[in-house]
Amino acid sequence: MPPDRPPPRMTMPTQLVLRAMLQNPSKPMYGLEISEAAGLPSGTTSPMLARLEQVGWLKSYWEDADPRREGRPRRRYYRFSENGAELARDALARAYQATRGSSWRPGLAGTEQMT
Amino acid sequence: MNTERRATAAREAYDLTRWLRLSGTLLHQTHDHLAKADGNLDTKSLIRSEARLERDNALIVMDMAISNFRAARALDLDLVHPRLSPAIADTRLQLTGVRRTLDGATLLIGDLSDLRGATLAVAAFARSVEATADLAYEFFRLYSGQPRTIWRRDAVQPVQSTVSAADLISSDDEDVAAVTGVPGALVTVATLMLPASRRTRYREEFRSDLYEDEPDRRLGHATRIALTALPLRISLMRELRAARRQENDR
Repeated sequence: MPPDRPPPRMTMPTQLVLRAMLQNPSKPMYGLEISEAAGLPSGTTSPMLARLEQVGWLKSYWEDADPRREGRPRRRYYRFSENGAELARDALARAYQATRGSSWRPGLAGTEQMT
Repeated sequence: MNTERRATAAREAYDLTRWLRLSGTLLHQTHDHLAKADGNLDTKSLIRSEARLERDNALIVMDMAISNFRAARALDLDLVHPRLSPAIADTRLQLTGVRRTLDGATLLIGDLSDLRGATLAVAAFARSVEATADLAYEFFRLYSGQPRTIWRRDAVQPVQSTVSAADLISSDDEDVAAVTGVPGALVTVATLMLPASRRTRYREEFRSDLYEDEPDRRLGHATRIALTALPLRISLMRELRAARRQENDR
């Protein structure tokens, strides 16, 4: 994690994004793919991905492909940084413990996947 | 007579109408999906999440509406021509009705169990605003003294934007299979909210994701991109400030 950067807030959508990406931590995924895997509405993940990139958990890069040959625009891929997956797992475990220890129950859609 | 104020109010009213129509359509679609999802709890919960976003969208638009109606109501003050008296009376009725509808819709949308009622209320609200927008436009057209061709309805631009509608909606020759139309325009507007140094990256990223989504889901997708542009901007600005601070410290 870059120095003096606090870890991201583990909101329920952020947890869903991290869980989706941790299904296969070495696999790069693009924005729409991430939102579909996380069960979130398309177009809502950009702020979360930006924050995770800023704290150094994720890295992003442009797909090395010729859009004309592929017949589609090139994708922006996201993958875990060297220790990003480990940090994400720890944070998820802490968030899970905190949730279990309180009477709060998630109210967002898609949280069925969390249990 | 303050023609500039009228022009602004007319433009705001027209712009608002378009957003309300979009909100009404999205809520209708969400309600239909919700009805079809009965018995499938996973699908239903996802759609309810979508519904919450559309509800938030509608509420944002309604917040805009409150200030807009104040501006539109201000139009009445200077309009004394007898030919316009019935129209002014209609406008006052519309404004009263719209305020009532607005209050009702806000209450209904607050409770997702009555999504259908909320949908109908938003649709009614959109129709009222549309009528108000038409009147505001007519007031302006009749009293501004400007040649009609300058203020055609289809030439009305969003307020506080230096980008023309043609710029927003035209396709980009450099893009392969670029997303055009309203979704493309929404993404362009969202990109304009971001710091200049990040616009190119996010413009391409948004358009790429949008292109890969199903065509009938692109409008909702682009709307959500536009709604998340502000938190994204805040996050990017924070990052830029931190980078600048680090450079200064060296």
